[in-house]
Amino acid sequence: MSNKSFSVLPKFFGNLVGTSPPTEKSIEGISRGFELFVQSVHRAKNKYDEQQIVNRELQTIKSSIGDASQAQMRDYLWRLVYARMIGYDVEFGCIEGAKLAGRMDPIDSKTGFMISCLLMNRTDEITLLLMCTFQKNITSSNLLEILMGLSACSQLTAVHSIPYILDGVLSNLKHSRELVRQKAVLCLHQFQLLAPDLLEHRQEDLERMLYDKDPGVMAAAVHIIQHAIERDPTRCQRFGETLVSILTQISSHKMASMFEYQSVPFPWLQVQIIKCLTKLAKQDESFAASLVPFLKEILQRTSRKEMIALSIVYECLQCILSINPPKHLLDVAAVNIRGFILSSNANMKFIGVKLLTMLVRVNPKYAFDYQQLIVQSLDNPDTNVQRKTHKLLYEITNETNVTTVCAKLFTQLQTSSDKFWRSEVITMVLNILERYDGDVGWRVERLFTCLQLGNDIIEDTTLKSMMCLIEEKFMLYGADERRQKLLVQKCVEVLVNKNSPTTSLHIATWVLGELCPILKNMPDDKVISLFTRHLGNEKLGYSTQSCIVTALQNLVIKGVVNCDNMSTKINECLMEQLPIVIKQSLSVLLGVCKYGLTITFSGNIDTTLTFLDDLVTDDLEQGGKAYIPPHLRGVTSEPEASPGLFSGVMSEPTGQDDTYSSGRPRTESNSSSMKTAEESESVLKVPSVKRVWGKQGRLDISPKTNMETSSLTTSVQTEEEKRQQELASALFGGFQSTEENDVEELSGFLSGSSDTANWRNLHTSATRTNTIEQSTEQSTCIGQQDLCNDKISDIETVKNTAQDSFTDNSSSCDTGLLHVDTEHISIFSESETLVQVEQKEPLFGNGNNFGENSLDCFDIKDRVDDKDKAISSDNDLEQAFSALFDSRSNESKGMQASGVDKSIVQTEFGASSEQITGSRENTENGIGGVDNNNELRTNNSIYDETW
Amino acid sequence: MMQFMLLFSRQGKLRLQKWYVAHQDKMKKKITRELVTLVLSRKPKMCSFLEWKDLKVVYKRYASLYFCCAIEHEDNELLTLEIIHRYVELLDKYFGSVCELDIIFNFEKAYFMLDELLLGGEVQETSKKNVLKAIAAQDLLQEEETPQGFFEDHGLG
Repeated sequence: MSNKSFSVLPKFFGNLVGTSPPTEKSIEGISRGFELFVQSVHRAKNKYDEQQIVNRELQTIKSSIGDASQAQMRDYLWRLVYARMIGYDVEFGCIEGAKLAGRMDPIDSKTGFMISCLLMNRTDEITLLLMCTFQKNITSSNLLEILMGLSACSQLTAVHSIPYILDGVLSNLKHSRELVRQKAVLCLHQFQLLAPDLLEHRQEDLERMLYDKDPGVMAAAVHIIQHAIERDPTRCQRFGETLVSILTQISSHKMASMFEYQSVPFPWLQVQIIKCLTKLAKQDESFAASLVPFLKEILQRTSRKEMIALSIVYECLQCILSINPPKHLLDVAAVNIRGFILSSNANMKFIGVKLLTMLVRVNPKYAFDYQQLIVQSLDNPDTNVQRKTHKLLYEITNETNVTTVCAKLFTQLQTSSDKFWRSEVITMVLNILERYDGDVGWRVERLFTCLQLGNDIIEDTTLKSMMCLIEEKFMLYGADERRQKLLVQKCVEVLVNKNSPTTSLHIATWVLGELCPILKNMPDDKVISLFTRHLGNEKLGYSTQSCIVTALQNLVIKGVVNCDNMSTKINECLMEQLPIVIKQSLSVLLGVCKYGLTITFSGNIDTTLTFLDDLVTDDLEQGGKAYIPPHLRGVTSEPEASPGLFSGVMSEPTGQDDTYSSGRPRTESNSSSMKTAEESESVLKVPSVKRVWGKQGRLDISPKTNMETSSLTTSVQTEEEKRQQELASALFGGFQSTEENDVEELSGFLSGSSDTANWRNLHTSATRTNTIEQSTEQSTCIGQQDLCNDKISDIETVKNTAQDSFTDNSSSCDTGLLHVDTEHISIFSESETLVQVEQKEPLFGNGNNFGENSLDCFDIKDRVDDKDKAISSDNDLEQAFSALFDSRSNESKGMQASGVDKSIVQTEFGASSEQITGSRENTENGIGGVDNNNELRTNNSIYDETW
Repeated sequence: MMQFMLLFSRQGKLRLQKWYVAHQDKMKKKITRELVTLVLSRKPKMCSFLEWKDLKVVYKRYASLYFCCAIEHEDNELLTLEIIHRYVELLDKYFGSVCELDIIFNFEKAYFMLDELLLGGEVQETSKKNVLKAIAAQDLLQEEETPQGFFEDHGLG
């Protein structure tokens, strides 16, 4: 930092006791009376004394302000400002301030405006008194008066009185003095912020100020442009080039040296322009692309010596990270961010962590280099840094570390007392739970922990999104019954517990209402009292109570409980003190029980809707259009299309209707699928690493291995370090670095390379097959049987392929295979309720065999290992592999439409095994494969988005 | 856009406050109290940025005085830190060598200077010379000179 004045400051600041220090020029300070007042306030021993002194002073001022001279008046008013600052009510002074502002004498007027600004708010009615003065001032011929008027009116004009002075301010845009023009522009910017539509008709005049010959005015006009961009970026594309050229001029030192600060030219304006460019680039891909070399140049050109220059670099990096940058620019950005992070200055470090959070959002693998730092920052004494690091954790969440990240976030939720932060944490947790399909029990548990810990801050919107999540994961047609049972079990637990928080009760009653058929085996009065015992709870809000009533209705309608039992219970409830609306709905329910109205849910659903056939044929005969299923219309097909059939059966609690299930934002899932694409790419790059990390977290074997490796490598390690390292391993298990030495250092923590990648491919294709099947929905039981057989044969193929591709992995690979294999199966069973347990059995058997088989293949492994060493670049090999896998799956995509699922899987596996041998030979010219890979990856991610 | 600026001493006594957004008095007092406690409780080595409610707070300590600004979420923290520094530089230049007492006993000057530096929470004049010129003009006015004549002398008129 080149700020000499900085370092000399403390010396002078230190001189605080005693009289005012000698100053170079004689400045007319405050009057003697004011000085005494300030000193006596200073000396006051306690709050009461102070109050006495100030109130006495205020009384004196109040009585004598009426007939004070001009100078005295100013003095009194400043005393009022002082009193106001230390927290006393001085409202009576406002009117005097306004009066003073209206005086002819410029110094009176200036002081008057100043004091009015300090004592009044824009929203106060008293500002109306100033309107006339404003009008007079801004149309004056005196430069000083205009400037004062503009400054003050930008601070004090209420929204509804802007029109009175607007014309005057606008005419000042053409004033001959640049100072006036500048102030006028800034003043109009304030008005725009207050009333965005007010200046719509003069927008062009305002925007023209950007081309003003004075840089100061131009700088002010950038505020206007920024505001315009914020409102409607598409309309402002034309400013892009102008802004870029201005910025180029500034950064190549073409401005007068007067605008330099710490020898950096116009830093404020530079930052502002970059901000505008960021917003424009977000809207326009091509513009963003054109910015790439420009941003790179700015990064290069800006020095790193001055503090202020760093703020430009910071803004520039933010811009880069928000425009989806190409790889080379991202690398440049990463290097710069590293500079921030490794800085010894706490401020720079904080900015560095913030930027890293943005960086890992673009590509999570960059977090890998900073794992030690991240883990340390999690326990930083500065809560602010802690929070930033937790946000970073949230961004790097993947299937592997999801448990650990969640645990960390929950600790924050428990320990922090800041409401804002806690609600942010809850949102993060919910997003994580939505994105990653972990163990169901775990997820249910987390969901309710979340509700419990955040009981005081969870709002209706959060509650709704939580219901959305549950509905999507557990209740849609075809949801796994085992999952539902787990959920119901937890909900019953919550209802039985007397101390359950309101939010948990709300969710639990709603869930049980929806899934009540599962409760059929429980005795009637137990089920009913589960709900009714909470009805009388005074803490519950109306919405929760109505939720309970809805659940009771569900119990009756779906025939879960006997109507007579219900009637007796309800009669009991009606005796209690309840809101009249609740009582009303209960008596309606009583009526329903009386007549035993239930909807019998037969289970045999006419999915082809044969009863509508006549209607359809009639319509077709009359020339109606044939129905085209949504997925064939070229529009995104919703896999949840089927629940529409049951919307009548599944009743929603009051106020929460079906719409949010379809209306929920899809962006999250998109980003997660993008992320997986990214991960699978990064996964490919590290060869010859042990597999310790499975998809769902650490494999059972891993903690031991971890401990062993760490204790072996570093013999002397403190407990703390060990703990941190473990945490790091848990968090960064899913990340790989391209550097070989890094890999060796952390060999225990890295998951396998090729296996994960290959398996992810297999996995994806398998899931894809399922989705297709689901959407066609026509497959009969026999078809399913066939399919299952296919899968068994697929597994065989997988076995063969995998033996090839896994052989370059070390001993833990067999466990990994087994693990992934089971998961593979579980996905099948999750998405297809029709494939039942009896089909799972043989598959599991296969998996076991498979594990044994892979044990057998160790000897092959050695052989291949040698061969691998001979091959120059392992990375290329891996990339070629994945490219080929991807290309296969893309090709097969075409066939899937016709429903040939069998061939897909087989071609894919067959082809892949073939390609493995092929690509081994072709590793030398693997570059082609890499290109191919990139291209295909994009294809893949597009495809991912559609389902 | 800057929301407000507070200057307070190490003892938590407010020395200057400037609000660029309208709040009720009660609210202002509450915010000030909370923020002063929060900033004073921080240790010297900690970073100068805070995320507080939906705002970002940037503070810096110069000797016994804390300068504290609240900015919006998308504003640049490092830049705000420099605004604070620029303000301190201005005060320093004007008062010769500024100390807390200067600000206590000349706080109207401090307000004038802040007004020249920031307008409506945005930096309006970054040239140090210009700000000082404007203040000097004011001082001369106080000595009952003709304003127009002075401005012409100094190239502002």
